[in-house]
Amino acid sequence: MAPESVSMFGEGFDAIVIGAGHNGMALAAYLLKCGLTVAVLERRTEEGGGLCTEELTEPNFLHNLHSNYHSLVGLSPVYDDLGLYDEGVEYALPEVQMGSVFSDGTALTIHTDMAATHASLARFSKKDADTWLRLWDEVRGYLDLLVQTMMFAPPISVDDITRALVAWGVEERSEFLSIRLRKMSVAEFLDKHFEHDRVKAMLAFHAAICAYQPHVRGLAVSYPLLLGKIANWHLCRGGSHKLAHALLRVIVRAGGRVFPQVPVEEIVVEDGRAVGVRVPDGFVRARRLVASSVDVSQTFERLLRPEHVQPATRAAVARVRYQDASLFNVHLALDGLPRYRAAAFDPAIDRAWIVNVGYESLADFAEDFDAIRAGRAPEVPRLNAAVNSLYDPTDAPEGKATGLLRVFAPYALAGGGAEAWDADKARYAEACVARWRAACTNLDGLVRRTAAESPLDLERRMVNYRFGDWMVGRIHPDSLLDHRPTDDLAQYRTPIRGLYMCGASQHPHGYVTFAPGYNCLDVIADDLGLEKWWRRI
Amino acid sequence: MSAIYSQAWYDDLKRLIEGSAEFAARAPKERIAMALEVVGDASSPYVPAGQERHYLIVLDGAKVTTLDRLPARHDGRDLGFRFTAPATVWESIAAGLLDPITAGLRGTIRVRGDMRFLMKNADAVKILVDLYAAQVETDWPSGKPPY
Amino acid sequence: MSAPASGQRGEHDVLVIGGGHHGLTCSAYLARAGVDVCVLEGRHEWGGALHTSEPTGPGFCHNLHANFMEFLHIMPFFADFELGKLGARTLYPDIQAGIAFADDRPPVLIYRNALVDETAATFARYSARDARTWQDLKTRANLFEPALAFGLYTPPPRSEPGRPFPSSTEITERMMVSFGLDAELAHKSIRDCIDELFEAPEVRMLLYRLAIEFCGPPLEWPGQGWAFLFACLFMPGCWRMMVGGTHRLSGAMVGACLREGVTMRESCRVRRILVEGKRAVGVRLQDGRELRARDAVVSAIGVKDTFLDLVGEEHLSDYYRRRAKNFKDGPDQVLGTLAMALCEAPHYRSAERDPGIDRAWYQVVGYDTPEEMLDYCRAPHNDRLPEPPAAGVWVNSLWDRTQAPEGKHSLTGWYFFPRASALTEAGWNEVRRSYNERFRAHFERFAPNMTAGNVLAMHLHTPLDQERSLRMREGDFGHGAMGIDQLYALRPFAGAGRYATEIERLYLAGSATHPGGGVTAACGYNCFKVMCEELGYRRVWARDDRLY
Ligand SMILES: Cc1cc2nc3c(=O)[nH]c(=O)nc-3n(C[C@H](O)[C@H](O)[C@H](O)COP(=O)(O)OP(=O)(O)OC[C@H]3O[C@@H](n4cnc5c(N)ncnc54)[C@H](O)[C@@H]3O)c2cc1C
Ligand SMILES: Cc1cc2nc3c(=O)[nH]c(=O)nc-3n(C[C@H](O)[C@H](O)[C@H](O)COP(=O)(O)OP(=O)(O)OC[C@H]3O[C@@H](n4cnc5c(N)ncnc54)[C@H](O)[C@@H]3O)c2cc1C
Repeated sequence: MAPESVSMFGEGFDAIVIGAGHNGMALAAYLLKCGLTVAVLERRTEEGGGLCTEELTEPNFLHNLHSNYHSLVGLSPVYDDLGLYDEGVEYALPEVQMGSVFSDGTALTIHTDMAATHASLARFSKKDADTWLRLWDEVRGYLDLLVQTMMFAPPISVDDITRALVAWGVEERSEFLSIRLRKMSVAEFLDKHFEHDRVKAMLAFHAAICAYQPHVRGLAVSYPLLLGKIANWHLCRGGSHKLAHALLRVIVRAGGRVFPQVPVEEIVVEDGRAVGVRVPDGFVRARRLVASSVDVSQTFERLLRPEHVQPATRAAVARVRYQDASLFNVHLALDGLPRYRAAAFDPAIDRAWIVNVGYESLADFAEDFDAIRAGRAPEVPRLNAAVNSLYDPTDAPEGKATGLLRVFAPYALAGGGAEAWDADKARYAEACVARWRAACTNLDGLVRRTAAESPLDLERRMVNYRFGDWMVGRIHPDSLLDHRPTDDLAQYRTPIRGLYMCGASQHPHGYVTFAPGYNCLDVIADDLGLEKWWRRI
Repeated sequence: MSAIYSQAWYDDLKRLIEGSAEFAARAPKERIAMALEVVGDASSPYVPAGQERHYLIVLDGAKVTTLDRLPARHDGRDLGFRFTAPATVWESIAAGLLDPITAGLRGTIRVRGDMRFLMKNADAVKILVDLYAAQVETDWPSGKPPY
Repeated sequence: MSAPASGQRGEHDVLVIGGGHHGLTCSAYLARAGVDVCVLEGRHEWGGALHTSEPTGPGFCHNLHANFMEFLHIMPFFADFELGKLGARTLYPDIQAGIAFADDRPPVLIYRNALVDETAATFARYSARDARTWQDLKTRANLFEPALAFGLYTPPPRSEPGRPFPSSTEITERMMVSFGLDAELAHKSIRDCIDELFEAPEVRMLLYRLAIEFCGPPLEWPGQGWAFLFACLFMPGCWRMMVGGTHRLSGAMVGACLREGVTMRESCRVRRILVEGKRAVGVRLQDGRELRARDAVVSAIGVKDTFLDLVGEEHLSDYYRRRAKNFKDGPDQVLGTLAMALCEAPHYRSAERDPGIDRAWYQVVGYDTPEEMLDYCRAPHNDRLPEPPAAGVWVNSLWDRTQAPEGKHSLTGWYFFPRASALTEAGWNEVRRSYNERFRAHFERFAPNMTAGNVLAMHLHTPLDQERSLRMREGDFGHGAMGIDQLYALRPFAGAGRYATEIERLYLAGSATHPGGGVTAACGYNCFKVMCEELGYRRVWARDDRLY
């Protein structure tokens, strides 16, 4: 065979970013605009990482395999800094953001219009509806500060936060903030302030699908921040992958390069400094830095040679914990829009983008997550059902629709482990569809084809979603802020000079926020003395 | 007692800050530059709607090295923080009618800059804020803005 | 906090419809010439048939449409924009194609262009005469390459409806003669040419199959000698593989467009070409938005789509309306693409005679006799599914390990199927459910390790899927039949053969123009050349070291 390839990598680059997820690509784009030469190396066939849209069921049905809801639109500075809207990104903001249907035929809906949300909640509890409005109102006051401080800046410790809250007497000035939140779970917070099971279930559902498990102690601290975004869930028109296209365009226009199908096999270290990476074609030099957007386990246990990793770092990385609940996904091609039985109670539910089918009380969450920790997929799946076509009809042929069912599920099944999913996938997918069918009036004739993705499939497709963990590190007080992913690595720097961490393993966490990449940029700019043109104070 | 926003008024503020032993004990080591932005509104007789006043305050340790009115909005270069609020908000705070921390929490004062720094220096911030809110004397009748 | 308004501009010099490789080619050159171009693609991905996906499971890459890149080494776009440096890396497998047998017959193999003798040696196992014929013809074909390139990358002469125009049959006659063959072979069918020149059944079988793989006319239509030359002599031997999958070529083309400043909009389906007076002035998108074109609109999609759907009959002359309606879609055999995720690559019985078959890039498998092959090729014309299921397959992961998970392999291949409308949707669904498994069982006779256990997952992309995914009518991968009546100056029809149309400032750049289907990047390139002539754009294509 005659190898014909020219070297694509030339003399190397100032910066090499490992992984073309949104964090890695955004970091690359900023660095390019600082005048560095940058290459992004990606192991998959497409750029985008979790911005992944594929015709999994049949042609012209677009399914977002990973990220589907983008909740930082308008809050994350990156969209404007990089001019992503000029590159064609468009978002829809569904006016009915989410909802729940309950077994007694009732339904609850969260609207962008808070008066409508209030009205929906009031049908369950007037008191809760009023509390909701006060809570919403309060949180809106400090959301901007929270987003700036808790997401788009390198992390500080809970102790520092608490001290400030005390010094400023915030507790006396707020109905909902309290230093006790750091010891409370989301469920306890909801129990404290709300009375109706269904209302609590709806709000806990929102937290849970953000990976904030309702019963994990300490997560109530982040709840106000989470809540402030409950009506900011945006749908990327044309599929989440469109955002990746826009990022790619920004990079290429700035003179940068993204190389798909180029898996990094080693980060090369000389004299304690990262000097490049090894890929199947050979060595690519990084003159100033290497930034890894992939998980710490891969970075420190596979990409770096053992002799370059200090024992303390190795031990800390080995202790990194991943989420115990992954997601089981069913993508559907539908012949039309589904209609819910509960629409008789609240017609708005048929316009709700994301619907909770099955969680009716806080106890339901405990039940599911206990089962999951024991390695069992919930027997009767409780769904998070989304119909993107409601708000982006271009994601399916005219008159048709896509559907997406997600269920919390274990990565490893008791008896058989993760591999057991391959045999059980079809059955479980059918159970999910059956559950949806029961909640709808018209699904019988609508389902054209389905395609299931098990937690194991998630990991196979995207190696950094270890154990199917889509947040790349669990959401738990011990693994957040300055503890994420380890105390040592929390500030985006590593013990190896010139090697930075910029992906979802870092503060704040996964999700399409751009925040880990943005914060890593800040640190790199400090180290390299780059002018922070994006800092607009 | 000087009129609010006057140079004399700011000199008073500066004197108070530099004279505070409490602040001296807790002031951050770093030099910090802050822009204060007063956005005119219909109610304030001092800054009419459509106008803005801009101030730059630079603290170096416990010293106020700069306290200037700027001709225009600060361009952000080398700036640590920017605090923006309607004139009536600033005035109400100076009059002790509005709690500044609450105004921050409610988003009435828009804060840009590294909040982590403010949190790490929470005590110093509290002292400064109290000085502004309760200590500087203003020539208002009965301590209240005239509206 | 609502969704920010989109930053899209509503006016450009040129709007290009369709982000397949021709649309991208034309856009990149236009932008290099300083033109403000916006290219609009209906799908969420670029590249049209330059498509790679993972239908059998994460990490298993399959090229569901184009796989064999025949023209990269002569393609102006590739050289002018240094696509090699933009991520389009190629491999050039030594053994390009081969046929395997279920008994102990040795395989017939075709090596890459330069290795004429190696190919001949495998022919010689069956016939010394066939081996000599191959050596002679292939050597001439290799020398012919510059002329072929000139023909592909130069707009055909003007043809007017009702007036005489240069006949491609004449050109073919002259070519036959220069190959030392009888001129009248130009008027024969592909099969007649093969039968006349080669005697061994095994050699014929391989050539039959290769002959109609690439958009050509049916095997037994008379008057198609050109297709024999093209498909049997020129094409096999110059196939390059895209490292990482065919879609990487699209990625490099997109990169070229971006570098030149092309505005790119995916998920923007064009519904209408706006015509004012007799002039194209813009487009309307599916969502109702309108974009204006100051200079021109370029359509790089199908002919019927362009004229009947987007322009609208009311703006067409009677002649255009007739010709657009009667434009022939589809060879009658189109491709169904099969995909399998494998533990092991196939290991053929024939490999005992020559291990080369296991390393042949295109492996023809499932046929015992020429009669079977002929019946297989005829079946689709009668709207039948070929039986027994046989195919041509490739395992790109043998060369490029990024195309499958570690230690596994991705097999992709083609069945010949009837056109999309021959079966109902339910009918195709049934084919999707059962045909692959029957093929696999048959495959096992030829390669004993192709057991059910060796196959981790399978997928079948039917002609209906092709039609739906890329708007290739009937699944016609050439965007229009490639018979002698729809070629060269007559493609798509007389009067529209030079990329310009009767609608002022509306140009055609898709595969429905000369030279037709295949990843040539020629239609978009030639269209740009004509636009330079007519609109005075800078001739940035011109190079001293290239005649075309
Ligand atoms: C099922 C599911 C649902 C989700 N839903 C949502 C949602 O609705 N909303 C939301 O905001 N988020 C969602 N997420 C999470 C979100 O997708 C991720 O948190 C986010 O994509 C992380 O971005 P990243 O840039 O850090 O990394 P990624 O997007 O994971 O990108 C990392 C990239 O690195 C590549 N890579 C890995 N190893 C190598 C190597 N050795 N060499 C080169 N490249 C390598 C990977 O292939 C990948 O492309 C979901 C995730 C999953 C799995
Ligand atoms: C199964 C198969 C196998 C093939 N194998 C090979 C091979 O091995 N080697 C080879 O050289 N060739 C092969 N071909 C042929 C080759 O791929 C095509 O001829 C060539 O890619 C066509 O390029 P194009 O740009 O004309 O059209 P396309 O690639 O079809 O692109 C047209 C684009 O226009 C878009 N579009 C359509 N309508 C609209 C609209 N209204 N608005 C906006 N966008 C629109 C489509 O979505 C599409 O992306 C194969 C084709 C198929 C289908």
